[in-house]
Amino acid sequence: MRRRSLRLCNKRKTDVVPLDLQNEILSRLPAKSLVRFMVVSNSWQEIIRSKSFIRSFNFRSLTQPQPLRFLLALHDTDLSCRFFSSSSSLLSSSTSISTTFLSKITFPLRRASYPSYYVNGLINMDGFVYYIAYTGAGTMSLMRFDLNSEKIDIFARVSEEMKALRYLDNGSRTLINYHGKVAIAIHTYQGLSTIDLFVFEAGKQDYNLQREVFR
Amino acid sequence: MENEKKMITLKSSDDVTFEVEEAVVLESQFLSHLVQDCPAPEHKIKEVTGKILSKVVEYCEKHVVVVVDGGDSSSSSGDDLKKWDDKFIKEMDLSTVYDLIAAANYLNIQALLDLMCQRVADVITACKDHKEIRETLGIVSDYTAEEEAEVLKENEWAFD
Repeated sequence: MRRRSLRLCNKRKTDVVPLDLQNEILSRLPAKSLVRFMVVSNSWQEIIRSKSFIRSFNFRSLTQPQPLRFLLALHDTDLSCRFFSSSSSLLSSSTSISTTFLSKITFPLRRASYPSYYVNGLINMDGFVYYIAYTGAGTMSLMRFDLNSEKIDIFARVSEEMKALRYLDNGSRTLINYHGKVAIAIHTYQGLSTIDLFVFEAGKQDYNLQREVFR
Repeated sequence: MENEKKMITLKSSDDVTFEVEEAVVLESQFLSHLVQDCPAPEHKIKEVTGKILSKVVEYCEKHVVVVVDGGDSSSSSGDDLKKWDDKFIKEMDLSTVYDLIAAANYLNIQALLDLMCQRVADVITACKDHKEIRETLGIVSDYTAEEEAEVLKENEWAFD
């Protein structure tokens, strides 16, 4: 007996299950193993990587009360970036947290004058992901990635005062959510017990400097 | 009026007829609009075969009873209904499931669509790897050998 195939592999009109219904099926799979299903066929990969699909996952998780989650991006050698989010609460006592694959994007700016050399300190606020990137000759910017439209823009330029950023290792360049605003904490001068906290104002193309002293 | 049950006849693409109560038909968004807009005693559903329509009717009849007798202690409880759903899908081969997905989508019966899609998702989840998924669902991979190797390599962190 020959089973009728789902014919998920092409866009022929004879699809037994049309693409939007394949979407329905795939969105019911455990998010944790979605990446494994990308290998099944190209059209599955297209669905899983599509904006609408990723969004449907986001929406579902938003309907439940959200515990603290983290968002992580891994930078690839081909200048693409993969976004992950933690599947479980960071408050849980477990030491290992599973992550959910969200999206893989290839930076559209790489051919322009905005090569993104590294991505770190990502935070997710109101559907935006922020990261610091080199944007041309010696300048750095706070980039903003809109998870819905998948557009990247320069949120703010990093000024001279923050140039110390460049000499720090990745671990010290961490973006934080400071009372709902994007901020970056920099331990500028070795030996001094101060941390410079740069707070980026939403909508403004500059930032406030706050100096916190730790004893 | 309340006790008088209005009957409607549904005719499948291959001319199999089903006489059902109007309440059963209302489970389908598509059919409830159809019945409202054109109050004929018989409706032909060209897109659905008799075999599949009988399943759809069976499902809707089971579920409509529960809604009507919702507060009644003697009627099927949520648990019973779940058991019935489980049995309903278990007896079905995948090919029927696909046809029911298409029918539930066309007739706009969300609960049935959910049930069937979940069934396929469960089948996929139970597979141990992509090869088994292809085999089970009869998917022909549209990757070239090189592409597949690349996708596998790209995502090897997800396989452990």
